[in-house]
Amino acid sequence: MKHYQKSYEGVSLCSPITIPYKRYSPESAHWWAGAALKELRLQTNLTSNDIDGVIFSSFSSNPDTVVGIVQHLGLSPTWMDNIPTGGASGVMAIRRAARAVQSGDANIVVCIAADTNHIDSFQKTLDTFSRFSQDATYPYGQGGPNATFAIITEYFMRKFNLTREEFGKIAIAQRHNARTNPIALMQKPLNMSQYLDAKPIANPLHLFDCVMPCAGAEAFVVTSPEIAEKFSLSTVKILSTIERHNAFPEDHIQYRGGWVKDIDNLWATSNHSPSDINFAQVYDDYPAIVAMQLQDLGFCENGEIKQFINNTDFTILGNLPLNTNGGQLSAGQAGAAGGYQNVTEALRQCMKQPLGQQIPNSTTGLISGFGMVNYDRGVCTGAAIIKIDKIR
Amino acid sequence: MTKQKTYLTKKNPLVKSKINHVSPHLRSRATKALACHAAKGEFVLQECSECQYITYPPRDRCPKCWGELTWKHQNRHATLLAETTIHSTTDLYFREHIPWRIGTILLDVGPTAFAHLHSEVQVGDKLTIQVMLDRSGNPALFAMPRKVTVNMEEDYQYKQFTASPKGKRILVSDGRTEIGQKLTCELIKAGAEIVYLGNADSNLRFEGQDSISKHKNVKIIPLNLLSTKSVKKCSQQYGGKVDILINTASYVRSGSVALSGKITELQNAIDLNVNGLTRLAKAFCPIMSARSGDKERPAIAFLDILSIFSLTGHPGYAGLAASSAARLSIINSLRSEMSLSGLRVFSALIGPIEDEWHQDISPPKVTSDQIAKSIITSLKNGQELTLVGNVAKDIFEKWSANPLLTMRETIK
Repeated sequence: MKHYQKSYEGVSLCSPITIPYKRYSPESAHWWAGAALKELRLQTNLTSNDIDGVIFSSFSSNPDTVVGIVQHLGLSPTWMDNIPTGGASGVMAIRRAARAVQSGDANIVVCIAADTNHIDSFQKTLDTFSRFSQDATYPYGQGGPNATFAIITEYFMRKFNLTREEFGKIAIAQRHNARTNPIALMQKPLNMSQYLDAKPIANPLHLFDCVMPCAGAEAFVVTSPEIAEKFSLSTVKILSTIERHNAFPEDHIQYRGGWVKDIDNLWATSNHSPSDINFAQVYDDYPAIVAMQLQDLGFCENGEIKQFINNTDFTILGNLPLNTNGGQLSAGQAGAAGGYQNVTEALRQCMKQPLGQQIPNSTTGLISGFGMVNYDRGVCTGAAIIKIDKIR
Repeated sequence: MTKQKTYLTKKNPLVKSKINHVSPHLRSRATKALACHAAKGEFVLQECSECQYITYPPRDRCPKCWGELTWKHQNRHATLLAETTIHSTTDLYFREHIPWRIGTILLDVGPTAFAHLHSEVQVGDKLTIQVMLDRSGNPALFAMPRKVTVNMEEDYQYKQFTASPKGKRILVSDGRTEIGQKLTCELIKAGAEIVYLGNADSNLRFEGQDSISKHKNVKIIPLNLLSTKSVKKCSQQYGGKVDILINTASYVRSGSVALSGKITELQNAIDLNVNGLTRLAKAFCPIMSARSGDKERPAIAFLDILSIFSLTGHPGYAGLAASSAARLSIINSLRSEMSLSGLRVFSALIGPIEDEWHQDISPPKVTSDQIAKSIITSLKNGQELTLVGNVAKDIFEKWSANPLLTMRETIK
């Protein structure tokens, strides 16, 4: 079916906020969400009276959803939404908030992802993550998504003739980028032999293929250009977006995501092609998923991901700067905030205020999200192409 | 070929035993339904009653047409698509067992699934899939090689789901009966290291005593289930070295509720069949469940043999049926209780036995030999519920379909 997506005219993405991550935090998700709101107020002068729309994403705010957060933090919005899709939640928040602003249901939507990481948070999140995981994944010893992604990675390697070196190149480039970002949790240099010789987790995954769970919060604002101007906020435009869930149930093992179904629409609507893109912030829970996205999003022909990785420099000064803040692999995975950090870093690169090093030419970028291993694969996917509008 | 395991003879008493952990416990109701089939050794998957689509993991509606799903026997064949060896996990149970191999299987009937892998299977291999019960009593798919090989059951991962007698120290509660002795012989044949055989009265000789005591792997020990003191003493002496406990004791007398039989017969039946079982469980289960996480010599299973009339009642054996119903209830409660400790609880439901106490019941009846062999099979397969003999199978099938009707039509 042809995709007739209405334009995102009259919508501005503003005010990326990142609260520096901590490996462990005794505080709650509510505390981290409040920290993001406070930082937003300090940077923009937006108060609770100005905010009339709220989107919230978290794995650790139980039993509260957006309702609990709104009352807990004293907001009084005319519109709100809870987006429980982890790594896809940032892109989905952009889409929902943009349409709320266009329709006038809300004027200033704050999108917040906040997660804490207590010593036992990881296990608690697992215990209640999904029914299929309880029934048919965890009883097999996974104790988390590693083994599931080990199987996806092993299959992907066999199907597309990849070796661990290609994944190593991605992880090492992201570490290189992270070393310019003072708040990235992992700052030590990483070379190929360290990557290859790291502790095995679940074959073929080793330590540097896996993210480090941590606590943190990310936020951004979706509003109209007029309101952004009133508050002197830099603005970024949305050129096009896609979203797809449970795309290929017929694939026995995941080797592609929902992007494949809608990618032509994404590029056609944006009037851009992959070669016009200055940088990519893609979801990076594991390097194989980064490779899968690059291939599915059209950066290379299907089946040519190996050559593409080998021929591409993913560092900030390279030909396709990738996850310039270090991504989750090097900056840490703060739960659902991991699905927003790709958005905030993309906005910052466009606005010329990145956490780390600035990409020389960064007007247009791609954000991609991937989330929710409900059972044996990531179910939710989404992507957005954005362009700088005004720097204030 | 799976490497044969050599057994340790002594445990270092200074080393702290591993705490018992069980595999992750939470399951949906649909998956618990799968456990009921797995307990009987059946391989079933949900099939849509409208479009016949076969689905996994367990769902509550068909994902194709949203029709209702029913559990149906399915072809067990599959192919291994991909695998991984887990070297690191946060799960406390699996941490004790890593490295642990799992993979994605494609069942011939359609669905894909995660499964535990036998060490002899490789990517691309044709497999036979079993639904096993894990140490928390929950169902798990296990991928076996299609071709049966030597010592296949000795696979380390497979053994975590079974209770094979091989190399095990086993207590059989009542050695004075033919069942107790037959079972002991079969356990020795199946490779049991030693069978401790209970004798309720050391001063009173019993039939078969001479031949059973000749076995070098059998040790006759004092154990009287009617005495709390005797059971306690036995557990203090042997509880630390019993890996599998099998309760063969049973008190059977004919007699009805109103017109024949004495109330003392019911009291006796309850004292041995119900209280005896409970005494055993109270004395042995705490120490056995504390040892269920031991890596070298874990305590694995508690098995009880009881009458199929526990499900229905019986006019001519009212006391046996009533005490067996209580016994079944005790076993069900114990199974839930032990699911948190990792000690597996098995039950064998038997029809009337070919012995002096069932003279007025017409055939078919089960022999001690049949019972003993069925029990060995159930332990080897990790099958929690076994039905022995045609009467037990027939009554169970009818009872599963319509319990009230089955109670009404039970043999007069």
